[in-house]
Amino acid sequence: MDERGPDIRFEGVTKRFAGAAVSDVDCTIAAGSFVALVGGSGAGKSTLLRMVNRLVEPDSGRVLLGGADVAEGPAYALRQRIGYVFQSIGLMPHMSVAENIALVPRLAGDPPADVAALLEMVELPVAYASRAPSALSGGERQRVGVARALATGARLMLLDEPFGALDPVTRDAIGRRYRDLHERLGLTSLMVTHDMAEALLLADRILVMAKGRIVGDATPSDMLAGRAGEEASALVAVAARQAERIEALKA
Amino acid sequence: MSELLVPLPGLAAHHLLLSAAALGLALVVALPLGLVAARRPRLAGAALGVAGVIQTIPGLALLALFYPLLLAIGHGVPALGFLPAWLALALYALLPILRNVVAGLRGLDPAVIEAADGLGMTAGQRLRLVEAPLAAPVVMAGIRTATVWTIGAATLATTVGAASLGNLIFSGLQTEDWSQVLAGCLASAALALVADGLLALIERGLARRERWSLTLGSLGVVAGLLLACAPMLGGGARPVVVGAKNFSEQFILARLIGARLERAGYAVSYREGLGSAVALRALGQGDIDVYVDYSGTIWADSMHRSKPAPKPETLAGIADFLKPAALLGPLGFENAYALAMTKAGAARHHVTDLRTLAAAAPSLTLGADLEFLSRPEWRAVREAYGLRFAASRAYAPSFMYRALESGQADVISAFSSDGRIAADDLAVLPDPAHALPGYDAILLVSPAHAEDQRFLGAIRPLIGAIPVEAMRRANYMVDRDRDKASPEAAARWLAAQLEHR
Repeated sequence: MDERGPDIRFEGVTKRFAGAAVSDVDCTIAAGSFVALVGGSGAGKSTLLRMVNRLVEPDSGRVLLGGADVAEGPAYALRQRIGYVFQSIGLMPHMSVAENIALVPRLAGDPPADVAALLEMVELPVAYASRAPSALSGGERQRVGVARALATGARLMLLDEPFGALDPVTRDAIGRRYRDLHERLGLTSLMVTHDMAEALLLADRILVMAKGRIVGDATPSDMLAGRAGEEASALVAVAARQAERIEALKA
Repeated sequence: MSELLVPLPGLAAHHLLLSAAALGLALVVALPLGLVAARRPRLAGAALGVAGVIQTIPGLALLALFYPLLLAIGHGVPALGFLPAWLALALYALLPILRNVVAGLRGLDPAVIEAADGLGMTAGQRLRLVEAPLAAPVVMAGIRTATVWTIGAATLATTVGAASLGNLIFSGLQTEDWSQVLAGCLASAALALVADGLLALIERGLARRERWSLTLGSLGVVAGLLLACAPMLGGGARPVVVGAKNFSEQFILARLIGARLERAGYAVSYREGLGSAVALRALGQGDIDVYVDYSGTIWADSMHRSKPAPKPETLAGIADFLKPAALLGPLGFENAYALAMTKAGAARHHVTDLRTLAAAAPSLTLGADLEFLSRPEWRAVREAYGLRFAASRAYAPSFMYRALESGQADVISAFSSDGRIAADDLAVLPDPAHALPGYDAILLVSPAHAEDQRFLGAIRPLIGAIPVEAMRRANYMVDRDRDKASPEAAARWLAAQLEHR
């Protein structure tokens, strides 16, 4: 596999649903970048993300990873090459932490995962390997979720509101830790979040979605400077106002 | 009591194997069906609906319904015995398994399923690694329910001629031998409890991922099944099957016939407690090889003749009707409707037969069983002799004899071979006008053995050999309230009487 993660290209991707549709999205996400998808509920963020690993199949258009159409070959083989981290985590309750982390290499018939190294990567004690997921806190569970995604050896990570259910302190710590891993491992990361502050702090580039379309596309600094259009500015304004009010309280 | 326990292990083994086979069939159907149905709500609704309706059919009726159903299929498909019991019990076991498979799979955490898909599991891997282990405890709970139901309902298999612990219960009910009923109930309950306990161990092993309980439970189940199979590994030849309807006389005669066949070197099995119409049809099908019926029953109920005929004509007509099965001959006694009085009462009212009874009847009370007063036999005898009783009362059979004893009734309807006639020293009133149809006990043989001289030779000595007095006493040994004998013991006593003649 390439040192860095692959690039992602959406070409005229459309999915019609009652709820969160995606309409004719064209967009390229550069290899090795960290891109956040933001927007209100029903904007189509998760739908777009899930079309990359074919948990959702587009009605028209196509998605390319490193130039190859994801629709070629069986979906399970594609998914084994992509890390997937989502809000409700989905650790297997009947497997130990180690078994959970080692699951994908086992499915793919690859050499067994180095569980100890992966636990260390997400800053969990190695002794946790034999524990049941139910014995872990929410933050610890999601660290295992990240380790499980990394165990695939994949360099492309899809993160769907990965830290959304965690308390703010845990969320901040685990977010920053993930950003470090992203750098160190040369990952391509596509993250859905509804939290603009998180997007601004973690991502290199922010895509704003509304009604199934990308309505804003900018770096965090451009976005803060108001150069990313109306929708983006409105979302940034919320985060900015909150920060201002906190500053005001301190004074 | 010790005699009671002799057939118990064999019956328990049959009971267990029948239940296990039914559960196995139910699993083979319900597991894949549940798997498919869990993802298709409409199919699940339909499948659970059908299984639910089946569940509401009383177990006895479900078993009974398979008899005509299999008979209609024909082509040598056995309509009695293991097959109908197996199919009916499997249907019965379907619902709890199906319901729990669907519930188990639907109850899985959606996040876990999303993870399984998102990680790149194939449908097979998802089933094997995620869905099956997580749904297993719920499915196992359904299997436990099905097991307990099936082991309980398997006692009813006796009625379609499959051996089970129900044999003890049904024959005990008929002979009012409560210790036998109790033995059947307790054994079946114990079997259900042990099976449930072992499955509970497996369920616990699955739920808590405890290897020892899983192993222990599985070993217990396998050991139980092997133990039940052990008797099967012996003799290979199909035993001859002696049939019996559902009352004491039939049980005794079946054992009497069976003992003779055993002495002639046959392996013998029994199908007891058969319904009257079922028994004759089972003989024609070859599901039973030999049993005793009554000429009047076949004449009226199977041949639909409305008027009685003289005995030789009746027997010839029946022999013709039964072909290719054979009527070997009458045993020598009748089990007919008759009118009986105490000997003292008969003397006091100068009654010697039904003709002289007509003169005394206006001052007498008739006690009848619940059925007699609405039967054609009563109409026939009433019209033939012009019987007009002062009053008539209906009783349950055992109270009828007490009413006669206490003077509440002067004349009662009775079965001529009933043991209480001898015990209570009653006079059975002769029927000079032959108004009551003959109910000669006749020995019937299946088509397969109709020409089999070795088989016929073994049982032919019974023809014309059983006087009604001997049959009454044998019946009484089983029917009396105290010091009851088993049908086997009564049959041995009866056999000894026949040899002394």
